[in-house]
Amino acid sequence: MSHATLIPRSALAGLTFHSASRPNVLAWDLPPVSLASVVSRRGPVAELRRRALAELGVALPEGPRRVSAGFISLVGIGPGAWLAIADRLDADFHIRIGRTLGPCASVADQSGAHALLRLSGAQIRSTLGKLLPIDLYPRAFAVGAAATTAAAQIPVHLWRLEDGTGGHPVFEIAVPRSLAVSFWHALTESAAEFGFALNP
Amino acid sequence: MSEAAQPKRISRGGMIDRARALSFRFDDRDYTGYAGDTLASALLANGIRRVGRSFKYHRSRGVLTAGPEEPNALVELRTGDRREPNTRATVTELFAGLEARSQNRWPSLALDLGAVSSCFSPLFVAGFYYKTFMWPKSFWEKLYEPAIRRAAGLGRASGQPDPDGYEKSFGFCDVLVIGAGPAGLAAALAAARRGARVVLCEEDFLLGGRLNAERCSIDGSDAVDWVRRVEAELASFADVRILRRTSVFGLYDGTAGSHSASGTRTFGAVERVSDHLQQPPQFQPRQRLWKIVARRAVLAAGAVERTIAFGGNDRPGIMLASAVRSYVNRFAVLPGRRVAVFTSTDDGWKAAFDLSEAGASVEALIDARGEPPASLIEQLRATGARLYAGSRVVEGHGSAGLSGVTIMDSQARRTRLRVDALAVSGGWNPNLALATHTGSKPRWSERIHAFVPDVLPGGLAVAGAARGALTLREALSEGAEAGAAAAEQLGFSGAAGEQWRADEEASEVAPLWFVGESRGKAFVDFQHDVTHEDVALAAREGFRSVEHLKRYTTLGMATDQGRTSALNAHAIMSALTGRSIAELGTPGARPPCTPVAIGAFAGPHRGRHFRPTRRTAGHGWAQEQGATFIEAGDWLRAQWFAQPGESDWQATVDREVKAVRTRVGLCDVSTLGKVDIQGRDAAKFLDRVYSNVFSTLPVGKVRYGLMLREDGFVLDDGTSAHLSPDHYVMSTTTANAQRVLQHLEHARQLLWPDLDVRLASVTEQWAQYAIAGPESRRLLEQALGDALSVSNQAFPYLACAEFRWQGVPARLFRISFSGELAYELAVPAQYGDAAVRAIAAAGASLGVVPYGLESLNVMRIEKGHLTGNELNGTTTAADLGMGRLMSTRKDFIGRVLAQRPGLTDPRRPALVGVRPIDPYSPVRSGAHFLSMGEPPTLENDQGYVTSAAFSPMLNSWIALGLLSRGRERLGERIRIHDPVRSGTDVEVEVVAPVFFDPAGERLVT
Amino acid sequence: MRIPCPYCGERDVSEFAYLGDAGYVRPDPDTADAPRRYVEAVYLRDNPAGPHEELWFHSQGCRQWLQVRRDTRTHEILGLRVAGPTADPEAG
Repeated sequence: MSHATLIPRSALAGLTFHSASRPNVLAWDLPPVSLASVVSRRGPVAELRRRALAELGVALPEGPRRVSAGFISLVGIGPGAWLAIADRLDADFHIRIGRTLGPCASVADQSGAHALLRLSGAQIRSTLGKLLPIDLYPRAFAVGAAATTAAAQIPVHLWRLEDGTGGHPVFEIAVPRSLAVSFWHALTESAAEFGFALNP
Repeated sequence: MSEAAQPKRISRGGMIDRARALSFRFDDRDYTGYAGDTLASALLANGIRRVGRSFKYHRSRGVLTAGPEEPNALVELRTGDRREPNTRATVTELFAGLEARSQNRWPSLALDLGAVSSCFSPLFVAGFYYKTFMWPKSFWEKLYEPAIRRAAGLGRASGQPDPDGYEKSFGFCDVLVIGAGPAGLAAALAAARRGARVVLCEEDFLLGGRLNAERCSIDGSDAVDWVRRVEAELASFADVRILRRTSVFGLYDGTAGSHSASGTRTFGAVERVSDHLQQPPQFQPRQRLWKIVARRAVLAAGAVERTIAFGGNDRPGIMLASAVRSYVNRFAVLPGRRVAVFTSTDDGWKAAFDLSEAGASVEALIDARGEPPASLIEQLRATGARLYAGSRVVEGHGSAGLSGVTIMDSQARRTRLRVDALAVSGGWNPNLALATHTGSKPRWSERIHAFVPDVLPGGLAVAGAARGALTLREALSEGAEAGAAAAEQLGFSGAAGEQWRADEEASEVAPLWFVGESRGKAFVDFQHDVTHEDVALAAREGFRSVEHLKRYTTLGMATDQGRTSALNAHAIMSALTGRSIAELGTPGARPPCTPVAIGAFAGPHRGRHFRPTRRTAGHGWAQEQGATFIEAGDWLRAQWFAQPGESDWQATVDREVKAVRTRVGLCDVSTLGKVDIQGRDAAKFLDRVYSNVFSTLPVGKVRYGLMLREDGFVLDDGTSAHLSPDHYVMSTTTANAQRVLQHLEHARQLLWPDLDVRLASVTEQWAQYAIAGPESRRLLEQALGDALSVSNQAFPYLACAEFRWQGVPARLFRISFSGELAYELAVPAQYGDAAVRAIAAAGASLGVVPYGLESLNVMRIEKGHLTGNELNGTTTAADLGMGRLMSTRKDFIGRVLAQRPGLTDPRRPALVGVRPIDPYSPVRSGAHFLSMGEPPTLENDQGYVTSAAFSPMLNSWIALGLLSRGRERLGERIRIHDPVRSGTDVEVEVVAPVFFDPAGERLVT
Repeated sequence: MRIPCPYCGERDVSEFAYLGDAGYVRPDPDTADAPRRYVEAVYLRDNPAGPHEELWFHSQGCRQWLQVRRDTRTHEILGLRVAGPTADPEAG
């Protein structure tokens, strides 16, 4: 039997960039966590909501929003559809959620499907303005808001966290894993004029 | 640099920075200008009047305007790979080291041999393309077209890739203000003060618009001071963005009506980020294309002065009066020493006053009107100019530059005046194109004798000169009102106070379009060399609507879109045909209303970044193995893995195929689409979307399925695996993954919403590897160990399982595209890189080889398996020999229409295999089938080759194809015809479309 | 053109895929005249110059099929709801 060990690898491993020196756009390649898609089954969503609240301690967001409770956060990505994000890599995450939500929802493991990036900095809105066709103005996209859209032709999920140090907005973006390199190129090119730093 | 080097520079004033002299080159000579100049103002300051040759007649042309509407002063800017043709000198900011060349002249601007075409000008009248060069027909391609192309046309493109970058950006605002003249500034300030998020776009590098070119005051002080104050206040708002050097070129359809915030519109704009620099600074693009979504917009784009058509009205030195004022007041340049003004408007008189003030000798003011206002006459007295009321200019003299004009006074007496510049004022045309981009037509105004906006697109307001309100007082009040109203409609309110005082001004316009007594050519389109005679000819020949006039004469079809003169042509047509200009109408306008570089539209999406590229998790590993990659749809896939010493790719592929068929190979198949399907009705759903039955498929098994469109043609094929009760995973072809998911969501959401079934794309989730070949089971045993038993008994053909591999969720499917004993192993994609390395390590002792798309293709052709070449949207299940997969026991999408006579006709092309009689004669896909001895005509066409490859196992070329009545023709000899690529036909034998292991014994062992 | 998605909010048309006439109803395949009715349903569609009920798929967003009433001459969106027979007509 082979002795090779299966260890996860970031979709952004080994990528480089060039930019102006003083970084006004910051990105963090987040450590791997488990993700799952949760889709409510046919019928009323009330039972699903009840179970989520009782078992996971989380009120399922209505509409494109992100809520977080304990080890799990949920991002609304469509009517009756959520992206569930664990706080760490856990091979049983989707199974446990599936059991918890029982026949009310279809749950599928999506842990490998995305590259997750956290983005911030003084010029993050100007940078994302070159990529995303949606309005990230503070009033239009408040803390907790989420959106599923396309960034430079790449389908993404995006949500806004509490502002970070310096009062700059903080976003997280989930990019299809196969498109992570293309997204990286678009992101770093867009940020270059402002200065960019990875995992500062 | 001394003033002497700029002979026409006025010694003081202007909005130029005399401390910053800039040297530049024009037609290989060195000149100097100042920061704040345009190329046009710097050339004029240096006494250069002639800047180019015209399009058809190669007449000398000079600067006509001081803005983006310029038809004449088009130059080639920069050199080498940055050379850009047809650049308007009037909006090109001067920078140190600028290099420009005049266009459309040979060998030089002064001596242009092409000018002889003026002698043959009867050849070049309207419609000459359609008439002059029609006979003999064969001459067109060989003689006429090349000759015309050399003579006509303007600048030369660089012919090299553009070295600079272009960028796109999205902008969102409450109120977009287009134009930063007095109306636009007032609108932006009114909206900003009320708390609205404002974007203000200005084409120029300075805010202020005409205020920079006029001597006028607001609230008792210089209007330019007012501009600076407003600019400073706007800059103090966090939610105001001022985009200078930015042209809004299009208004696009918006949302309106009850279901949205009524009035939101999308606008296109181009920001010339680095055009005013020698080259873009590091990390900066040359231009940025903006897509601006605005809830409200105020169009304050001003108006463009128009010319008067008279003989020789194109002589260098003849300029629009407003341009003269721009050059005198803003750029401190005197366009001439002895000047005259020809006007039919009050506004034109200001040019005489400004020229006189600046030190020019104003020889004459020629007003077509019999009785100009007394106040103006009074003011003219101080200039010493002679007034010719009720008079007109009938001819401009001087082919290299204006030397004089002949005027005809009210008594029809002709007088020749010696002047070196003439300012012409024929009235103002509002810049209303954006207001008409969604199809609304403008309205004729009898007050200003021009078209003005009429019914506006929802959400758009127009203010100031763009609406036909030509005075400063109106511009300020209308701008403030429009900006305030836009903000208030969106719920913003707050301090008013936008009331500014401006002087009364005379603004009468009398229509004078064409001087009937003209001698020589009177131009109504400078850039395309259209004259009043062309309009008359079009009228005589029946091309009388403005749309026909435009196409027949090319009027207004050049890059300036005829903004300074097309209306003159319409007026001439109107007079000739006895209809009013209002009745005649104006041609429809479409975006862009100003030239935009294609590069700006492409933005960063060019070259290998034309579209995003998808890479599998095993990409890095494949690279290390020496993969050559190929684009397959959005994906980069390994095409083959060449080894040292292999002569060509064919040798590599032959080796890979043989290794798989004799030992074991490893191939990344992660690109296939994967759909997670869950729900109590999942099986029922699969029965309805596949033509064959899935509800009988037990848990732990995989089945091949064929999916049709409702019109009966095949949409896609793939497999679905029954992982656990109510849970399936479907695979689709790589190319169709998106389309199939959309099709399935359509079926689920619209056709059968009563079914309890939910879909999720898991294409990205799973990295999947095919392990194929006689040794594949042994490889898996070594890789997986105790994780899963893969014996033939425990895990037979078409088995599937979910299991844990070193704690990682994994899936195994015993399916085969190669026809060998084969498995596909899937792991979450973050483990894809580790998994492929583990598989390769486990197979090292077995001699495992990585194989690519090309070997996969050879092996699937050997097996007669299908890809997009066969599933091309025109084939039915029966055509592909899969009629048996059309269940008769259930309904499914495509069932009814697949039975219609056209799709069941036995003459339809059916899938067959073909082998060349000479096994080494290459067969290529796309080649056509012909019966032996029949000539290659469309009527004799028997079908075509869909896929072809050289089979190392059969040591022969083999191919699949669609042959008419194919299944009845096995054993027949036909030929394939490929005139474009090979020339000689190849004789082939029709065979069954399975070349290798037809019984499929290898699959099940 | 922007489409006000009831879930995602107003979005640029580039996020959507177009299918066409929303009046399409899949005919009963088991009636005697099914072939004729299928031909009519699949091929014979109205193409009006003016208001048109049509299907748009929010492929780059929430993956919902939407029924959009659009004026084909001006691209004005006159109405919109989630497509499908069980859709809540008040949605959006």
